[in-house]
Amino acid sequence: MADKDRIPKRGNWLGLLYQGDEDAFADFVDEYQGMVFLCCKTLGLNETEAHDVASETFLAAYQNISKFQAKSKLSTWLWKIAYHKAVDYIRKNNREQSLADEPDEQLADKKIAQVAAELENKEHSQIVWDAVRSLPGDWALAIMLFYRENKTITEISKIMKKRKGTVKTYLFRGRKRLKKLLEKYIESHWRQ
Amino acid sequence: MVSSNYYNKDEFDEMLAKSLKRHSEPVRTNFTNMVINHIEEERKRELLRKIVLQERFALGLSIALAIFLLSGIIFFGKEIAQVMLSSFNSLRDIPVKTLTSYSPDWQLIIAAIAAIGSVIFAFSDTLNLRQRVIRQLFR
Repeated sequence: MADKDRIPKRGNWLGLLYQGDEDAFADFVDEYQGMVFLCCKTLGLNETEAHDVASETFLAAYQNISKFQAKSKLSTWLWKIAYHKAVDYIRKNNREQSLADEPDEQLADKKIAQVAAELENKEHSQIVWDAVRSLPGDWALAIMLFYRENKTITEISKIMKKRKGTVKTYLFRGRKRLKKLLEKYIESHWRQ
Repeated sequence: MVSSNYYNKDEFDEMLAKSLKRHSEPVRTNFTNMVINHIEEERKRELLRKIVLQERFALGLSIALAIFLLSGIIFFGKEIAQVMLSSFNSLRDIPVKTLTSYSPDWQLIIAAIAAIGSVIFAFSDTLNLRQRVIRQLFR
C-alpha cells in the first residue's frame, strides 16, 4: 500500500513531523509500530528485545526525521532504521552468526524436521510465519520485505545496505529452504 | 506426492505472499506513550548534557581569568597600580583629561574590561543556567 494511504489524514502530516510535533509523531508511531515489531521479530528478537529495539528505532526516527528527504517511501526509511538497530543489538549480543550464514546442511535438515513437526496443528499463516522465522535473519527479512511488503530488490538492498546480488541470493536460498520446510504441510493441507 | 504444479514458482510465491500478509505482530498496549515518554526523557537528558557542558565551560573560563588576573598582578603589579592610580587621579579631573590619561594604556584597559566582563558573564550565565535546569525539570 502506498505510504500516503497509510498515514493519518491530517494536514501536512510530514511537515508537522519535521517540526517535531509530538501528536504527529504519536500518529506516526501508532501507524508504524507493527511494522517495526515485525522487523525485529523477523530477525529473531524475542518480545522484550523487540520492544527495546522498536523504542530505539522510533527515538532515532524522531531525531533524524529532518534528514528524511522523501526520496524513498517513509516506510522504507523506517525499515532501514529498524533493521540496522536490530542488527546492532544482535551484534552487541554476539548473535550475528545467525543473520546471513548458510547453516550447516545436516543441522539445517534436522532443524527443518524439527520445525516441520512443530508446525502441525497451527493456523496456516502462523505456520508460514514460523517457517520464515526459522531462516537466518537476513534471509527471513529479505523474504518478508519482498513477499509481504512488496518491496523491490533495489529497495531491499537499500534497506539492508547489501548488494542487489546478495539480496537475490537471500531470496533464492530462503525460498528454497521454505519450500523444503513447508513441503510436508503443503502436501497434506494446502492442496486440499 | 506433491503435485508438480506446486513447484510452479507463481503458485508458491502467491501462497507465501498471502500467508505473510495475513500475519501481523501484536504490539504492546501503550507502546506509543512509552515511546513519547522515552523521547521526552532523552530530550531532558540532552538538555542537561548541554547545560553541564556550558557550566564546565563557564567554570573553566572563570578559573582561566582568575589565573590571568593573578599573574597580571604578580608580574605587572606596579604598572597596574600606576595605571589605576593615575586613572583614579585623572577621574577627578574633567572627562577630557580622563580620556587623555587613558589613551596611552588603552590595551591594558581593554584587557581589564574584557576580563572583568567575562567573569561577570560567566557567573551570571552559571546562575541563569541553574534556573533553567530547575524550570525544565519541574515544569
